Amino acid sequence: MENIIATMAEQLGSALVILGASLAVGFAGSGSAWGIGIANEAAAGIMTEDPKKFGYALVLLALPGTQGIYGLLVAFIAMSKAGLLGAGGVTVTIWQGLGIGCACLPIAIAGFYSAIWQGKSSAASILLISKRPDQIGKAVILPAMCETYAVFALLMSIMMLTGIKV
Amino acid sequence: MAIAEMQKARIAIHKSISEELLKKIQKLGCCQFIAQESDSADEKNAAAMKARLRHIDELLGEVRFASRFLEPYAAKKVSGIARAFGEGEEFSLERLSELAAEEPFMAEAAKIRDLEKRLSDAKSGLSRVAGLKASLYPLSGLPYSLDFYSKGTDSLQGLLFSVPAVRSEEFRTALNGILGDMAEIFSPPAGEKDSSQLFSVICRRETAEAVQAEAAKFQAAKADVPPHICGTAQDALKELEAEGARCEAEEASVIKEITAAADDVYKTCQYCGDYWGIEKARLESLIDGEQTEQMLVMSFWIPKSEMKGFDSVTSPYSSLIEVVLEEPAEGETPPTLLRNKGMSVPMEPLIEMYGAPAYGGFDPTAVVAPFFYAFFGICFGDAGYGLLIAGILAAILMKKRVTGTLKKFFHILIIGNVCALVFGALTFSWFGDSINAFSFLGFLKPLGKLQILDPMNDPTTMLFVSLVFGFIQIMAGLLIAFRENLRKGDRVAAFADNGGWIIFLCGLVLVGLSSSGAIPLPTWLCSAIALIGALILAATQGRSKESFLGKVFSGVISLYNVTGYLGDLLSYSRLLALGLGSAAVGMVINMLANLVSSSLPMIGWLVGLLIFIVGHVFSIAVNILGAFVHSLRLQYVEFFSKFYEASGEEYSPLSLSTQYVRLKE
Repeated sequence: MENIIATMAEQLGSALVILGASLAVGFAGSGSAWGIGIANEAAAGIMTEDPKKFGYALVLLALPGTQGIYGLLVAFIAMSKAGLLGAGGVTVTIWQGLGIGCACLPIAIAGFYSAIWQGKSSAASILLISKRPDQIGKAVILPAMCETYAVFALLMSIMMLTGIKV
Repeated sequence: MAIAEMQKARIAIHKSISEELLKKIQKLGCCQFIAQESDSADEKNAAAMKARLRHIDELLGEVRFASRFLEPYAAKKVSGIARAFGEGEEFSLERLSELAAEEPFMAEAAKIRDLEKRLSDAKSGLSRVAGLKASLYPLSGLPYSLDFYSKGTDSLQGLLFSVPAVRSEEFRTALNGILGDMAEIFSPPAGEKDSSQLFSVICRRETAEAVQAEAAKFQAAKADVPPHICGTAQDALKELEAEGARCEAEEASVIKEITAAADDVYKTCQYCGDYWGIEKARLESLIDGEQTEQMLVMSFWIPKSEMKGFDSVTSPYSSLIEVVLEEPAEGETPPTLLRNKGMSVPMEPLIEMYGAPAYGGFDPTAVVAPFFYAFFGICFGDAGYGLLIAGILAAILMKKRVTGTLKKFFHILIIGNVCALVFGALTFSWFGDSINAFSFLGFLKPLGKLQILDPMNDPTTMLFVSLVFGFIQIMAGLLIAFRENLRKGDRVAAFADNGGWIIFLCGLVLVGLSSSGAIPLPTWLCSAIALIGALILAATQGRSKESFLGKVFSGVISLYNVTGYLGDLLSYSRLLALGLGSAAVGMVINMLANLVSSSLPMIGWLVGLLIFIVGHVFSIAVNILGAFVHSLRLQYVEFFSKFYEASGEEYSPLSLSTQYVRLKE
């Protein structure tokens, strides 16, 4: 029995890191996919009228994609911190692992929701440029307002990760 | 002077030279004409001008139609991007006017209209054939002529039913029961998968109703027969095949004709569109003027600095014109023309995108420029990326003739990327951590001596730097507001609203710094400064309220706005986040490239190199967009909210503006 507990204690830290990294990639990525999907519907719609808007639409519908990248980033940093990438050499305790796992949560949650809403904003902006292509500058700025909170979440995730001593 | 000083002027031109002179003024391109409200005395001439404008509008409509129709067929067209990079044709205005001859163009346009009609006829013929074929196909098993069913004869009527296959035998029996041998019932063999069976009943007219009533009991649907078809469905189908082939041939030949004509006519459309666009702008300005019997009187705005050029254009006509400089009428505001120097110039389109400043107001371009460039540099944050992009853009600028807004945009990116180069060097980020990640780049390690910040391992310092930038910009915004209020003579607003916040916020920051021991000022002094600011705000922010209690209450409550300033300040932490993002994406790409190249034998280095290139291109694309948008947002949302009033109207003079061809100077 004690053996089992000892093994668990040895491995649980890494498992928690993996859980956190999975949540970061999984949720932020899902949010991005969802958001881009919403924006895609609008983009495909305006292209039935004017296929030449593809370039503009692509810029706008790519905007909610950043959350997925942020999630990926945090996951990478978390895994490299816990020695799960490459040669490794570091092992984390349960508490360090729990800390790293929790540090992934801001980007997982804020990334998920902000990407969806940013997708909706992008869709609205795509409709805007279908009528007023000259307003592309403003159309790009509007969805970025939603992204702000993903940026803050990324910031906090990274700061927490750097704060944890391994 | 960041907003050009405008002069209002009125010019009276003798009609004999009005067109000629206006052409020259248009070429000069510095006069924005003002619509006159009074009616023209010379109604006849004004009406003639309006008729000409309508005519040009019609011509432009034709141009739009023809170019939109021909565009997909034109092979030799210059794309919008290539045009922006200075490709495309260049003519003098005279040459352009020769190219844009009305009659040949209208003849071409008529031909194009005709081709378009033939093409759409062929297409509608094809779709009609396809529709008929689809409806005849199920009837192809019938041996009878189809007009039995659509018209019938004097005594006979043909009926067609489609009956659910399972009940077909039952239906046949029922029909035999009613009609006996006084009818001919035929059902073509149905395919195995068909769920219904076609029944053809040819009977005497008087029994037709009884047959229909019987059919209704079996849920038999009456099958449609296309009218006007004689002969069997088989024959009709054969004819349709032939007609379809005819339509296809016609379509192909029309498309061939269009394609043959497309390149030339499309080009002519562009010449005509550009030339008539210029004509239209001039006519619109002319119509804005006031017509008397002999004269045309027009008012316009002109930047004072352009007066010399204007005088030199008009002086040859001095005996036939009169120019009077005027003061703007009450309630009339001149248009805004931004005029900056040096590195601020490229920022002008971004300021105009938010909205031009009011004439006589404050032009923020020169203040925004250094902040924007610095923020872009921090957000993009990689020396390798900065060097690469700045180099590419500079090369394009040198090789191609980039003009207008795109050129300004390129300048912004080049300066911003130079800032990224500097900032990347200071944080030792060259394509992420590639210098440390790849051993063969070891010779570049001395670049590490430039490093003064390490955001990856010590984000707190970088966060502090970001917030310092933010604090400086917010203070700059408040100071501008302070100065603007003073200039307008509103001292209370300047000292109470802006001054109060400046003192209060500085005091709060000083308290923070001194209590953490960062500056050698006693905390009580800093607290006192903050308190003075708070008292000023509490005493003044409720000044619009009537009652004393209301004043005090609103004054104290206004201090709560400090959360707004805190939010604005924290918003600048995105500088750190995006910078970290660029560095970390770069790091991850290098890590992957390293992993792959060390774990795959033989071709590992090649795959690694591929990952490196594709990865960093992707990282540049994503991060450059983020860096630009977020740096701009900080200007628009956090900075402009402190002072900026974008209530101006952009200056748009009558000029020679073309969309497709470039005009020779």
